[in-house]
Amino acid sequence: MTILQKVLLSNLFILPFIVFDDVPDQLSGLGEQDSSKFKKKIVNWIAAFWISVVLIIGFSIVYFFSQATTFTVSANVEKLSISQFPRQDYPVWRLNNVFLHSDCDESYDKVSGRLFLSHETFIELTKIQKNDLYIDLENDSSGSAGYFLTDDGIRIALEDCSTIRVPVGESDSYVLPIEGIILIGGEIKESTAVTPVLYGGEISIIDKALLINEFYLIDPVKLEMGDIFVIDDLEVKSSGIVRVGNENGFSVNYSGRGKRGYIKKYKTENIEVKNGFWTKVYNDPSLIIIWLIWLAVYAVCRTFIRLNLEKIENT
Amino acid sequence: MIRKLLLILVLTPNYTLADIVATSLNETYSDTVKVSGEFLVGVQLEATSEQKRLHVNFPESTTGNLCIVLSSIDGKYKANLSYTLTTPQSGLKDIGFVSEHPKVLMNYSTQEIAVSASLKESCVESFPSKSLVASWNKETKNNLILLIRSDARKDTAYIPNFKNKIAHTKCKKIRSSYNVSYDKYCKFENIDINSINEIEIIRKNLQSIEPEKIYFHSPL
Repeated sequence: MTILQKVLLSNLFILPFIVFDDVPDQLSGLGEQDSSKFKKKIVNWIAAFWISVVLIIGFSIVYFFSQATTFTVSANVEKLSISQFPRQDYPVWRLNNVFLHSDCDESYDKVSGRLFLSHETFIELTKIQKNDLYIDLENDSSGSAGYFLTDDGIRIALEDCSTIRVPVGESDSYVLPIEGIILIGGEIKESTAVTPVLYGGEISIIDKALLINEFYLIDPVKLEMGDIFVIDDLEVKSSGIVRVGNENGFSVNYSGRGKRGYIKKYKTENIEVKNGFWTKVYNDPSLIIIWLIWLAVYAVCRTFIRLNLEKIENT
Repeated sequence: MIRKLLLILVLTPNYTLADIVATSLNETYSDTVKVSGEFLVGVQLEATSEQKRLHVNFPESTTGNLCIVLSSIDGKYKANLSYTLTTPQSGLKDIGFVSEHPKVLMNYSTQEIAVSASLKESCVESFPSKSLVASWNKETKNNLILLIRSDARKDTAYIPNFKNKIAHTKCKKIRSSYNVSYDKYCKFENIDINSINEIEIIRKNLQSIEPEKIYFHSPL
């Protein structure tokens, strides 16, 4: 290492302490040849400061870039899709007086009972305006979509494509639990007479503060007509409820924990929704406390360095 | 930088194809471009890489007007290409297409840009057409992919009389992107494309829907 490199490294090492004129430039004179115990202590305090810098930077990187966020979504939609989260079962749905079209053709059975779904089945709930609710079940691998167990104990195996029509009368109201990877809204397609869409909604981001066991809420993001929303990189399955009544479309409310969400719009760039750097800095009070603690560490280091410098001057 | 070099290598023509003459190129990229809304949007072989060099498979001694429509899955990119085959063509041939929007094309995977190639009397008017199989690469898997836009709940593609038996496959939804131009793919694996004369797509939507038929250009 050349002398110039040593001087540069030495100055860089003590830079945070000489920017304030209360710590004199004489620190830059410290070198390997200085052996007094006070000078060694000064070097130790500077090293302690830098270790704290590395720790807080490392901690901040981990906090800002790897933590998943809880998204709470409430929306009024005409279409909702659910796919299976790995190694999770779908909830069992109780359905009364529904029309079961196995193999998606015109023939149907009117049944009441419980619906059991296979793992690989994709579910689509569609209710256009005030029409009936359609539960479309599809298994891409051509295996069975599941089975329907009637109240009479008859087990009806479902084909890879099956549809259940749920009549929705004036006074009917259904609540269905939903679990899995949930996507709300439908794609706008040209040359299509009727396209199920999302009417509107809101995404709230709730996150846990860093050290204290409290949650903080970020300003909600609005969903607009025709949007599609999905949470990416889910940590655990999303879960919530669908309420079907005699209104246009149906209501959905669910929560999911993932790194980011995407709002997809017609022929427009996807909009990423996440608890990013600035929202965390702005909203997480414990983050401010950690940085204050670090400033305190810095102040302690400076104080002890000054004390040791005074001792050197007195000797 | 490597992507750019690759792009230049792939999309810059290094030779001219005198036997396949481009007669018209209408290429658009817009956030508001209209899509055709046709059922069949692409008939292509599964590519082995993401390099895009447009090829078309010609049955033996094919001549006439070659019409190609390119459609991106999100509906933003569309191109209508017309070529005249001045001499009979056979086999998988590079048609020398050079895009005015190479960077746009690079952002799509080969399955996100559907290619519909056909032979017609005229590409301008809606003459009945016979499909040809296209490909984004010269090196391809023997997997034929149909890209369709379907509102039916179930679509199943059949090749009747394929080597004295019926080959069929279930068409699956494309779930990864915002699908405007097409939303399903039907994949036939390990298929000899030169043996196909017709593909029929049977559709179900809780009621009967007319099946869609795709006719292929046959060898003379």
